Amino acid sequence: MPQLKGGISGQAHHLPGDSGVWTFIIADMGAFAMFFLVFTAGRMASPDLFEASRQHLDATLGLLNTLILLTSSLFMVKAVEAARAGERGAVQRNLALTILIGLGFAVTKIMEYKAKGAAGIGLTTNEFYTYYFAFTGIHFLHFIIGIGALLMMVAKARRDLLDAKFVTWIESVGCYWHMVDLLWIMLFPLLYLLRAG
Amino acid sequence: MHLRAIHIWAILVTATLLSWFLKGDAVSAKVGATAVILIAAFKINLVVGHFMELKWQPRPFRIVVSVWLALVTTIIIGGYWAA
Amino acid sequence: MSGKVDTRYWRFCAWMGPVFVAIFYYCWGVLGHNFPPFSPDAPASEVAGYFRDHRDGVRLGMVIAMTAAPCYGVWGYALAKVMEHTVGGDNPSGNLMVQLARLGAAWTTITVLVPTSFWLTAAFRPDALPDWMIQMLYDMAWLLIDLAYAVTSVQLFALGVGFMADKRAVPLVPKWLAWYGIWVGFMFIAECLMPYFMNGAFARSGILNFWIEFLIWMAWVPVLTVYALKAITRIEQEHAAA
Repeated sequence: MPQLKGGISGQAHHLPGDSGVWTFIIADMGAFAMFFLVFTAGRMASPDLFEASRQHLDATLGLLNTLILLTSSLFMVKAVEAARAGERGAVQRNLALTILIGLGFAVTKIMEYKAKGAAGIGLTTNEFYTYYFAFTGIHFLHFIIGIGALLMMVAKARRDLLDAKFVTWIESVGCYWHMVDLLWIMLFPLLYLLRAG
Repeated sequence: MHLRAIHIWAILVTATLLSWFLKGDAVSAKVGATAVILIAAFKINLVVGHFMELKWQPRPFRIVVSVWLALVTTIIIGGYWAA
Repeated sequence: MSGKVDTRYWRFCAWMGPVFVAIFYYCWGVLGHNFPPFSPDAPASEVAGYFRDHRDGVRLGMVIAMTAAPCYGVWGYALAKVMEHTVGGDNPSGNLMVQLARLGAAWTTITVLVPTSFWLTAAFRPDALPDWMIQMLYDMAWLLIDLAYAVTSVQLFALGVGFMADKRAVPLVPKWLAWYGIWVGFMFIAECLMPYFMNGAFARSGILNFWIEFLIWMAWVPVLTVYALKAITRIEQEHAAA
């Protein structure tokens, strides 16, 4: 394997991360576009049901989720920047913060699911809640995989050379993590804030 | 113009809080609902451009993502108004 | 690398993938009324009526579909053979991926064969069976073929990882296709929702759990085959040049 020097800086014409990862991200975003379409079609068919159900969601937790993911994403950016500068300590510190803050999303999400369960609301309660649980559930699965990928990066940041290969790795994981954030940014207003007029 | 990540984060948080404000009775439901989706689209565009650092060149990924965003926003807002 | 590589049967086996998709689509899908399936909330009499009226068509379709099912496994082995040249079939980790890709393909054959026999059972003596029993066989077959998704995901993930490990400047199978396969394997998880719905997007006949899930998989097979066939030629050239 060729030896690469550390400290890679981002160039202007450069695709961050692995191009294959972008195929995954775009395919995944396509799936969520389909989810949004299905939700919109359902909402058009029964606006009253969707509005009544929406009002039972805890929008404050939704807001908290959004702020958590945005902040976690910020530290992800810093971790990538640190990797390009070859600063191992900063990479590790920022990855740890990305994960720690990100885990807040799991806490609020589980609280939210538990509260829904206690209120007797589940996947099959009505069409709105089917989409609510299915879409946030699939999104949550993306989140868990993201945490797994971040933990793997923590291990890699400890032992690997901070070379171009490492930068590609962390950029790929970073882009995936931002996608988790990005999808939530649209799920939040769609599910929690779209009040009927 | 080069904005640092922390600035982008501050804009994203401000936009989020603005959409929180718009969910109240300050504006009519229709305007509020349309605005929160547009704000989300604006936020996504910032995340794509500044956090993911996806540039318009050399590969078509940014174009694909932008088309995706335009499509998703149109579907949601269009469906909302048609309901 | 030592001289010529024996690729005599590779192409034939690789062609078995598209052959499987074509036969399965027509025999299982069209003749068996599974493309798209009856909605779960369709009355039992409707499903039973179809099996009674189209008994011969369903029987023919299922018999041919069962006969063609191993084609999928044969295809999977051909792909694993190609993958040996991207992941290094000799090294322990590469070999593990190759074996998982084979195993996933072989298991998928079983998960096609078994439910197909349930639909065949429903068409065997439909006049002697009550409506609800035909419906139950139909449901059972669908629950099995959908919820066995994880078996195919093993193949999709192993092939994705294996093709991605390619060190060539131009990989034998492009990265985007490797990642697409991984995405398909991941998307299959939506099938977990299928048993909870009698209608709508997540039902067995719904936009997400039928149309999207089946089409992204059925498209993956011929596309990957095209690249596998090109890859076989490249492997031959590499060995001839060595």
